[in-house]
Amino acid sequence: MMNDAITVHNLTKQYNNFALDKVSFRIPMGSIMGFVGENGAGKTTTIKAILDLIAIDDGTITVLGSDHKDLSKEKKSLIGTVFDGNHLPENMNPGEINLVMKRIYPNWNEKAFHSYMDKFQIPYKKTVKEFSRGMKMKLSIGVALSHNAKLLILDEATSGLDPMVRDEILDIFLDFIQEEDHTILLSSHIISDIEKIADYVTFIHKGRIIFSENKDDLIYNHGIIHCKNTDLDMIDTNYIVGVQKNQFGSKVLIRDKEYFVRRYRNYAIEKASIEEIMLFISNKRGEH
Amino acid sequence: MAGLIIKDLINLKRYGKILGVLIAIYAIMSFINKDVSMFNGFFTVVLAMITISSYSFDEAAKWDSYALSMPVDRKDIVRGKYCLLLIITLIGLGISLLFTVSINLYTGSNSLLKDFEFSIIGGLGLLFLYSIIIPFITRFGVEKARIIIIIVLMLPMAIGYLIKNSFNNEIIIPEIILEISELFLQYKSIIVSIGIVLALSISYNISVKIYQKKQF
Repeated sequence: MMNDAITVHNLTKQYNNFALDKVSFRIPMGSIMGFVGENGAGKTTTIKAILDLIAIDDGTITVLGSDHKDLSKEKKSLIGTVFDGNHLPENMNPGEINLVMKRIYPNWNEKAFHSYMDKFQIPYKKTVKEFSRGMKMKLSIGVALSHNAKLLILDEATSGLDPMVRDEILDIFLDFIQEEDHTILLSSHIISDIEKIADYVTFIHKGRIIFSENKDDLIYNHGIIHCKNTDLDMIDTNYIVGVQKNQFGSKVLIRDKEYFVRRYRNYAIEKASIEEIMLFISNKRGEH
Repeated sequence: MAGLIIKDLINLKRYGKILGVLIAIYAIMSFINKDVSMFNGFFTVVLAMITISSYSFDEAAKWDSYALSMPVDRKDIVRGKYCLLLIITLIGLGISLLFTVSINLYTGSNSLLKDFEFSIIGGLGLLFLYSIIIPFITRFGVEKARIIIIIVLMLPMAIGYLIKNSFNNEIIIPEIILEISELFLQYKSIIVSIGIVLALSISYNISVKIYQKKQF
């Protein structure tokens, strides 16, 4: 669909001890998709598949309206990427990186790059290998934002950054998304970042998509109740997403909150965070 | 692709200082001995190391997967490496020619062509060697390809040594081989040039095929 910046449909990739199993989600143009999941859940593998860095066994992936394997250089120049751990040449300094990038990206914006380097206080003369992890990430983000990209694919771009810098960078992402044709896919295990900026959340667990939904709907539709362990049997199991039991009672994640409230008026419902929703669901899956 | 080559050259620039010192030492020794062969021989080895280092740098930084997310296709990356090899060889030959001219002027010797021929043979030998090893590096990476590189380097020497020892000078070379050898010597420049171009183009095509299927 042309209105989607990325569409992943039934993506399947089998490794010896891990598999992406029919992964499907779509990222509407103009939105931020938070791609969450524990380490090893398949976030990076999915991103590699989107970027055609690995061969997929089955499924289709569309990026900016083209099959991911047939992306023209023109379309690729509209994609900014930040990889977990930074993949910039270690021996180069930002000035030299600018020299290289302006010959790689036809739409390279030198002025924007210098401005980001100043903003992030990245020293021009130091080589990448002398940078801290946070500085490397900021440099990568600076590169991704300096060629008039329309789609940012960010793999753990905010991990390793202190909270102040993370906040600063999240604000830059929010600025970026102000243009209606700009889109971000942000994979992260820092849920607070996703809660802060994402419009949609896709949760991957052990290579499978557990949900891919609008963040507000997700929060609106779920809620948490506290009840006695004995009360659990009286609640329709269709409403129960997960239960955490202890000796004092149970904490229950409820779906279809609105209907639940109408049916069970005696329970006070608390707002569920994305992190809680994820934890309840993944713990439930772990039981099976 | 120009960006990829510039990236490699900037990366390798870090070798510049160390190389400068080594070149100076060998140059002085060659001047003292009034013999360019030591310098040119050393230079060939240095050139051989440099191109491999560009692969090591890329692997250490996981550069390829990053580059492939840019407006760069897989063919560009392979082509960039072959161009880098040719550029380094040409720079090497240029420095070697400068040095050979200087030493000939200094010694008043008239062996410029003969001395420079030695460098050209070294350069062409390198190109041939790389046309064999680049596909292996592309397929296995520098670390795993190292052992293959050693085999490629040692194999001709080992075969030559074995032949020499087995026949122990009692070898009778058939007339036809002598005739072919003479013909080869007569047209050696053309034959070697065509051979190198052929080897490089076959090697390039194999590397592209390997790289198209590579996963990161």
